[in-house]
Amino acid sequence: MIINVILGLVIFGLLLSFIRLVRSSSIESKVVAIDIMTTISSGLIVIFAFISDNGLFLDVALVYGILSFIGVVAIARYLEGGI
Amino acid sequence: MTNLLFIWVAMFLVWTALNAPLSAQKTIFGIILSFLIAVIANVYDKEQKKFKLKTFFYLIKYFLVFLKELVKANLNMARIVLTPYLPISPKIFKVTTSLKSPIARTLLANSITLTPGTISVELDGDTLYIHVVEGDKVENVEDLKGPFEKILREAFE
Amino acid sequence: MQYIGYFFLLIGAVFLALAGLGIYRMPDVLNQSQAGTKASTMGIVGLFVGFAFLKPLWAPKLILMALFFLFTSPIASHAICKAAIKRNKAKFILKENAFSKEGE
Repeated sequence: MIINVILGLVIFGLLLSFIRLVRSSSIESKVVAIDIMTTISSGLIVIFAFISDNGLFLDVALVYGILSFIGVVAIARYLEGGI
Repeated sequence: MTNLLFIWVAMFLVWTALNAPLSAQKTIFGIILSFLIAVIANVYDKEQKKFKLKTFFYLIKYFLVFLKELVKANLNMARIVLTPYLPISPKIFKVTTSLKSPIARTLLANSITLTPGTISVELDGDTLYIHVVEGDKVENVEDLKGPFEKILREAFE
Repeated sequence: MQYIGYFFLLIGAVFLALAGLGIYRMPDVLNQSQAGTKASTMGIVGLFVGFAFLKPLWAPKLILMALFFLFTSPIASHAICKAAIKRNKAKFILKENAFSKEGE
């Protein structure tokens, strides 16, 4: 019941940052939008683990968060001219 | 020697949190694995600083202050985002810090990012470049560092 | 116990929605990063603490994940901001003499 409200709010945030990702012109703001989107969808995976009552999805969310952090730092390093 | 013991216990706690109901096999494997990680980390640690218990207590105090500032920062940011005409006036300020050790400087920059209305753009030597959303409201530049510099100086020096 | 968990969940979800709204409304990169990083960190920590109250068996792993997000998301935003400042310095509104590095 209340979990539906929470799911709706989280998906609202995901949609707005997706619109920002499509419509922005500079590449840095696209990277910021991707960062926020991966954080929000990592939260979405945990909500799905709660709904389906399966603890294995927590590991998926943890690895997803680690990989998104490494990806964002690598892209920023590339834009800066370090690689 | 104290460092190795500390890393061993910390790594075993992380292993316990990741494999929540521990069986006998998992416990033995975790002890062996965390001991290997502690030995490897100890070999590559060049500075070999002493682990002090005082630092640990000050870090707990730092963490509580940090959580309080995080909640305050988010309420401030929610107020800015929900105002219809978007009251922002972004500016970049330059602040010097007096902290010496690299980990204290890193923690200072990290906590400035999560305090109200500020984000740390670059850390160059002992100079911090801070981006502020409501730049018109800043009167004293030293206030941007918040209460963190004092706590971190007590903890690491 | 259950009501505390749902309360934290609601706080987290509201802040995640505010992160999306903030990143949608702000004009340039630094302000977007400012709004997005703070609100999404608070939101994800609230969500994980709420689930830790609802499912006590998962609590250690969830708290570990919350600590991970708490300490890595400022680093990611700092890396992006540094790259943005280095690529186009003239576009941002600077205070006089605040960003004058030697030799550049």
